[in-house]
Amino acid sequence: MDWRRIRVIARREFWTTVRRREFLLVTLGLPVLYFLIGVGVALATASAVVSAERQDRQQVKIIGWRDQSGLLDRAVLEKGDETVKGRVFPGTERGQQAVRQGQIRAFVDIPPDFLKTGEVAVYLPPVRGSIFSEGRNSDTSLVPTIRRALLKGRVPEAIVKRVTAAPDLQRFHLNSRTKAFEAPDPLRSLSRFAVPYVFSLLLIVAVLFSSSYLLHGIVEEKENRIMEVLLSSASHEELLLGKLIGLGGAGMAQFGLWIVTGSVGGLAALQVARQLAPFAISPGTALVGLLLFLLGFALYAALMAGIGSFGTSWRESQQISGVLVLFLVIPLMLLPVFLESPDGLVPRILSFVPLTAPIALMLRVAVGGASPGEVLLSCMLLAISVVVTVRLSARLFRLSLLLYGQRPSVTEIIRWLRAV
Amino acid sequence: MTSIVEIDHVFKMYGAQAALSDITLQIQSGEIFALLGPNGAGKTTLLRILTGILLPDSGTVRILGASSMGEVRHQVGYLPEERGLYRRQPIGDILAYLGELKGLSAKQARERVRIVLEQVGMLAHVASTPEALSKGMAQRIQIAAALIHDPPFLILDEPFSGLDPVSSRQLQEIVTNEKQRGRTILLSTHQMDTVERLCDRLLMLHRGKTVLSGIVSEVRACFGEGVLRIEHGTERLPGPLPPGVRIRDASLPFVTELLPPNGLAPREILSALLTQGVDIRAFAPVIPSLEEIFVRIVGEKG
Repeated sequence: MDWRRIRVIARREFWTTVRRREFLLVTLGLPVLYFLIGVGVALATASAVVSAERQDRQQVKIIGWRDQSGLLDRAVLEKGDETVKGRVFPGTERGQQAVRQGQIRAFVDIPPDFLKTGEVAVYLPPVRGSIFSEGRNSDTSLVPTIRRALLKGRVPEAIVKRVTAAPDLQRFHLNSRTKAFEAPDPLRSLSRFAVPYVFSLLLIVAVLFSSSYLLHGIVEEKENRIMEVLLSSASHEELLLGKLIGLGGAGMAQFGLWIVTGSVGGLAALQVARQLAPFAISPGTALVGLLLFLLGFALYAALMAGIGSFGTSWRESQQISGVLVLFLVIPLMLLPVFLESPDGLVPRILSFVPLTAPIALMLRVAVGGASPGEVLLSCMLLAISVVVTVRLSARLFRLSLLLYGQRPSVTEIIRWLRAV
Repeated sequence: MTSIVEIDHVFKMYGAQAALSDITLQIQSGEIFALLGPNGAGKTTLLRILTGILLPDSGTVRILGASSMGEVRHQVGYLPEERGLYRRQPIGDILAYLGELKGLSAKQARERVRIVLEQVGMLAHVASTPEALSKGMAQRIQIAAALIHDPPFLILDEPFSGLDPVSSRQLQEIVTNEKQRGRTILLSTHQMDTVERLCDRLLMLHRGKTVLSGIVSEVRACFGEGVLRIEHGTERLPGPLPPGVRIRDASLPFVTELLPPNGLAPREILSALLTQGVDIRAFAPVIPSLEEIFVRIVGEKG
């Protein structure tokens, strides 16, 4: 292979791609779009919070009670808590009527067999908001009030307080590296999830966009019928490799810009740069991530170029190659399995299968579930499969060019692959 | 003369179908060599093998002394039959890119762009895009692309197809000029009159096999069958004819085609006719056109 020719092809592919109107639109437009979406979400959230507060202020702050079991302390029920007061009703019908007329927020009917069944009927006004918020506000204050009213006078006040206010569990986890028990850092826990998740999304988006440009370029060259001239000037391996490098560079430039604008936007949003510190990942993990990113991109782009180049139009090529992305998404679909048991059988298998390895291994590395030996072996397998795929795809790529406008059967492809 | 191309017993199969069967040929330096044959004869396969796009199953191919196309890519210019250009890029940029692929530096490529565009009469269009050009103009740009690196060996597949007579003639002039500059040219075409006018030697393929090869004039003479064409002053050729001589065609007035027997030289027939006092205006052997030979061979082979 002549690396000078590969450089010439890569340079042309890079500049042709980054000058494309669609590329510029997506590269520059996406951060703007995300910014606008962010502003929209922030405005909508703020508006919802203001609205909820207004509703809360306007809401009736009385809870109606009827205790048919005779077990609950009436004074506790009437006193309520810091947010609502209580009113005891002599009959169920009158309590329900008070709810209908909006005089009370809820009516709680304690049945005679409450001690045995634990069942309590709560009558509420019509549902507002989502089904997830249905009755939530009432429940949070009702249960402690019932507990307090049930225990009042029967056990010491300190025990009543401890029963009504749930114990605060302070968790300490064993750190596998330092062998010390440490309290979990919520931001660090978030970063453990966020880093591999963002990496996976970036790789998927990178593969989708870059392979789309790759296919676009190949189909355009097929349609323009300039391929035979190119193939007489460079070998099919040089041509494919040049395209992969050029488009990989364009993809990197695109994501570099997105990461920079995303970081700046994130910093501006958080306003406190310090808060990002727990998100910092170790240099080793970052290196493995970069390596997996490059190998994963090369593998998928080569596969897509090889298989996708058989399409007779750009749309068809994209459909053929789009199926491949499903393999990339498999580890993401199994994300809970990776987070719970990163060294389990399924995560291990997926981190050695080349099509799933880029994301599977990154997920395992990020949560500390892969040994250095496994990382090395997986990267080696991935690198070998990249080399094999580039060579095979280059043959398919050349074959597709010679069969311009035809859609060969699998048998024909195999027969031609032997011939070229 | 040295051989630019040496093809020795080349075979190429597509599955069970033989695309090329035992092809052997040599192309000498400085000649225009014609590759002929009906559609599906194997011409494109042979050209693709020469350009390194396909590999032969067996046999050897040497171009400019090298056995691998990779070694001599920068010395071969190729105009394929399936040709095109990037439609929306300036012609100067396309040619410079192709020049760099052929081993020129960026600066050399830019210089060569001006030279080849001037050579094909398209310098004014250096900044135009191919989508704005007519077919004839685009074809000239494609010739320029084949010449961009000033290769000693040119492979031109149907360079004149689909062109109007004026454009075709202009491109033929470019080909002739390249020959005068010492370039070797392999020309694949269906235009037999062009082959007669431009080419030194030919090879005709039919169903992957060589059915005819040699120097163009010799091939034509070989297919002449000794027929003599006589133009005479009288409407019909007066008799008697020399012994053994038969009339092959006398359908036109003042013209008769004679078929002499083996061993009787044309000079003797002419002498006999003059002795009889026949008013002879022209006397020449009939040499069939390449097109007639082509049709005859393809018809015979089925």
